[in-house]
Amino acid sequence: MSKILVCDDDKEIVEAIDIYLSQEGFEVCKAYDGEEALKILKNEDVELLVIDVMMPRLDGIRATLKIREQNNIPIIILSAKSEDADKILGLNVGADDYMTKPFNPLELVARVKSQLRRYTRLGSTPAGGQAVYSTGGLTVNDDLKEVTVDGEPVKLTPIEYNILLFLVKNQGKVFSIDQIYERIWNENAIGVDNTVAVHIRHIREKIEINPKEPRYLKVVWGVGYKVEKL
Amino acid sequence: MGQKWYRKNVVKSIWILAEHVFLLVMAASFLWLMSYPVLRSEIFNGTHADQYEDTKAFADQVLHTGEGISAGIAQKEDFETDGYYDPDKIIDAAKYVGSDVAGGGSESLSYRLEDMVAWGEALNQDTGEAAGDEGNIIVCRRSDGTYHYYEYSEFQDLIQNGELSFVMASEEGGMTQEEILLSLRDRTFSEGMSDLFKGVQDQEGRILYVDCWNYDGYWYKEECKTAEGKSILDVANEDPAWNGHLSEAFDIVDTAVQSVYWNMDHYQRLLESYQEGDTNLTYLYVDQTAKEIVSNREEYREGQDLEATLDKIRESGKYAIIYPRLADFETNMKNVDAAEWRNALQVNGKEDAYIFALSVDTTYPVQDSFYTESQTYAQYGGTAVWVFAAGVAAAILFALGLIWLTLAAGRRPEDEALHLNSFDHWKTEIAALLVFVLWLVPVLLLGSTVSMTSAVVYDEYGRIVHANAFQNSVYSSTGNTVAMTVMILYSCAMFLAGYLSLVRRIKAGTLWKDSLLRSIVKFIGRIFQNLSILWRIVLIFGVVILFHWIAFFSYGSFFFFGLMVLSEVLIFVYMIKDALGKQRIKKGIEEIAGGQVDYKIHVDGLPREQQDIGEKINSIGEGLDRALEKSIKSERLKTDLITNVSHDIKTPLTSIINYVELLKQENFEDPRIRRYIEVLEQKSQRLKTLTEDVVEASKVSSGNITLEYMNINFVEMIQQTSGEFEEKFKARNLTEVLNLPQEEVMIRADGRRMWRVLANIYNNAAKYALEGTRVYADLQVVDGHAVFSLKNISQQQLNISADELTERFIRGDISRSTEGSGLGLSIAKTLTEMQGGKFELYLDGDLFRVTITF
Repeated sequence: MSKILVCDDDKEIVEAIDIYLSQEGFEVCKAYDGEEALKILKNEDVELLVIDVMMPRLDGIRATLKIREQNNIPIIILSAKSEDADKILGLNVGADDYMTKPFNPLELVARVKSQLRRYTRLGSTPAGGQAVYSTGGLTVNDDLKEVTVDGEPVKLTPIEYNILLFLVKNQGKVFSIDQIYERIWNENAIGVDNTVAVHIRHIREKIEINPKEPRYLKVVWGVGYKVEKL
Repeated sequence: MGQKWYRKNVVKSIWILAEHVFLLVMAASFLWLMSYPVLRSEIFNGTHADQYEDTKAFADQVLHTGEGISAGIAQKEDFETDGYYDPDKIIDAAKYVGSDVAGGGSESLSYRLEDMVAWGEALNQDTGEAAGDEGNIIVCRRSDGTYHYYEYSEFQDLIQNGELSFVMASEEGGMTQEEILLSLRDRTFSEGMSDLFKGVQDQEGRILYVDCWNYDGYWYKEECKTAEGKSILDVANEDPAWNGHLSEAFDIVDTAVQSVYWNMDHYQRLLESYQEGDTNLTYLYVDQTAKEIVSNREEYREGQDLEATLDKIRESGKYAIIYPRLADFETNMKNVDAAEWRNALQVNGKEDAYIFALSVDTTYPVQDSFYTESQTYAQYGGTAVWVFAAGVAAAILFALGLIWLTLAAGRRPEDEALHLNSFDHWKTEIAALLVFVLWLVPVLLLGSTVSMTSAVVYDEYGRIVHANAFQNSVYSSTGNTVAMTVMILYSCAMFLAGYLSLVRRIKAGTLWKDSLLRSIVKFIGRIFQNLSILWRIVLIFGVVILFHWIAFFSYGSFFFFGLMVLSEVLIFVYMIKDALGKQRIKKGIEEIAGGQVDYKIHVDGLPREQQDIGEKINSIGEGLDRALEKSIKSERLKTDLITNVSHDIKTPLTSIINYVELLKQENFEDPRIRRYIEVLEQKSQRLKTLTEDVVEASKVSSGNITLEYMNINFVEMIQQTSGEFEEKFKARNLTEVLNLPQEEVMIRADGRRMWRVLANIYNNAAKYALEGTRVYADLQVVDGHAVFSLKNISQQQLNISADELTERFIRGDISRSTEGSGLGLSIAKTLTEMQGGKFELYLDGDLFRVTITF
């Protein structure tokens, strides 16, 4: 099974993460500062790194920078710093994901799995000729009417599927509720209610690891919805 | 050191001495040239003639002499009878001055020549003492419009004798006969005041005059009577031609007397100065119409053959013969302008048929002024240029020295500092006065010993024709020469002392600083400043009013009128400045009151009073600014502290949450343990929310966030939010009633912050609304504003005011046990207001309503 390196100066957190990941069958290496993490990375065949930011000797940001010089394994930053600026910094130096403390351990496991799937399946594009649309780990295969996230199939109702398909086909573009309604229901949007918004939330709950911080289906407040082009 | 030699005291002293010498040379050259106007004019004419007869000065001398002769000849007709002076000759004043006031026919104003000359002399020797009793003439008008003039005394006698009496206008009229007489005596009556009396009647009661008043025209004391023995008054009374023209009569007689007097002067000069044997000049005037010959040569007067006479003149030396036509003009002199000569030498304005010849015998048998000038020229003609050149050179050197001394004044070779001597520290005015007095007194004393006036001869146009003055005064006696030299040297010394001190003062910038005037101005200024503003305004107003009254009573005096206008202009300028200053201060106060506490009123150039006010307002602003900055800073510190603390809390909290989760997985059978774990989970989750909310609340309240404004469709926004909360509402069996407009409602706000606001109030409803009730969400556009409200029925009784609900950390007491930080509404309110919106809470019983207006 994949080997995962967890690096945090708080031993109990590392311990807890170890337990959760081990339960899922991952092999876990532990490090308590950046230097240590670098050393282990050099010696062991690690497939994913979970790293804290605020640590003695070498902090998570600089460690990430160093690792990225020669290694492209998935890195998930786990930090108490929750400012937008902190997240942007973390992702910019080369992290693949950013989670804030306190975190839901199950979410962490889900993210780890997602990253690993993407990492191991990297480069395997679906066969051509099929009506397949994808962004990041999200794939909508219109021939099979099938939606997968990081390879895991997701069950959607027909309306949810149509909405997602429409948004994935036009990924990166923002559509208002009225536009989506007219497309999917093929009639003029007269009834001003929250139907579309409710469907979107349902879709999000199914395809996102943390629906409150969606990765694919994003809300542009006051403007509409879009599927992020990743 | 080397390059500063020009500042050495030795160099300066040499220059100062040299300056004296230069000035002396200049003065000598100047005075010498002044003494010899002929030589001077030759230098400036730029020509140099070997002989005086060839100079312009010679021609000018001949011309000026000729002018006098011409003027003299012109008088012969008026003053002579049969070729000889006739003192009894009668001269009609009106005709003499060419006046036709009396129609030109009347010769009543005719005087004997001798009388007029005597009168003229009296006038010109008038010492200026007041004539004492100025003539008081009473003018009486007859009904036919003619006048009768009385001396006051004569009139008074007639009234008092009863020969004349006033016809009073009314019995109760304010004035008696006596009083009218007194008024006339005091010359207060003018024409048209006759409403006091109807006229003047004689003894038989016939009205002689309809009006009478004080004469206010031209008048002077008559020195003699007319040829017929009458006064001007008599003439005016008796000769109808002059009746009503009394003032003109006086004027004409005066003018006539003056011109007779002056013409007599020319005439006498002609007779006396240019007699044969007294002058080298010969003149010949032939009036070909009157067949008259005037000349100072006996033989020419007698000579019948005009051509022969003229030939003689042509041979006699330098000559000029003027004819009416310029073409006939003859001369052997240089520097002669024919037209100028012809115009200057016209006798009586006669333009035809005359010959005017002038000649100077250049052998100079007579030692007259021509001879003198000729001698002088022969002696000094060649020297003049050199004297002049020396003077110019000395002047240039003097100026050079002055520049040198100006530059070096106050400087020393050893340093760049400015050195003032003790005299330079005296008050400017006192120093100036001292130098002036020290110079003036000795110079006046010395000057009085040098007489310069005696020998200057001016011609009638004020030109020096013959100035041996300086020759006489400066060179003639050793005493004078010494006195002049001392005077010049002393003046130079005093001038340099004063001038160099002035230069040093200007260089040191103490000219004004050390002046008495400045002290006085400052003193007055200080007094003025210490007056309260009220007294200052009263004082200024008083001065202005004073100027106006003075101007009013000065009957149009230009000076006082100017002073009045000046004071008005000054007041206007003051008022404008005051108004501008007030405007500036007002703007400052508005800015500061409007929240821009770092605004500074520009106090430069404001009146003093306002400068004070401005500075005080500025310091209030500064105080506010400091306080605000301090509070912002402390708010920031607080935010930083909270953020840091929350980071520190989050790490252990993470462990707690993680291990609680692990405990949950252990599947304890014991319900008590399960209960404990549930509590742990709940509380740790609450702690998590709390830390997050506290950080956000402190950031929001300290303004430590940046907003990203964009155009937002409020309708879409509410639909989205509603969608997000659909499940939460369902969980508590709440029904949301959406009431949104069909069309878009655009607002300008930060989408994510706006979501935070809506999420907070929806959360509030989801948490605290009574289960199973409806929640109303309404959006309306009112007066161009988007108004959104969310209404719900509160589950708990609200024992708290709307204001308190949005205070940080306050919630309905009962809800303390439920999850949430109690910061939601506070954050929502602050965020709304930051984006320029309005956030209102309304409580009415159990009805709870949030209204957001954009």
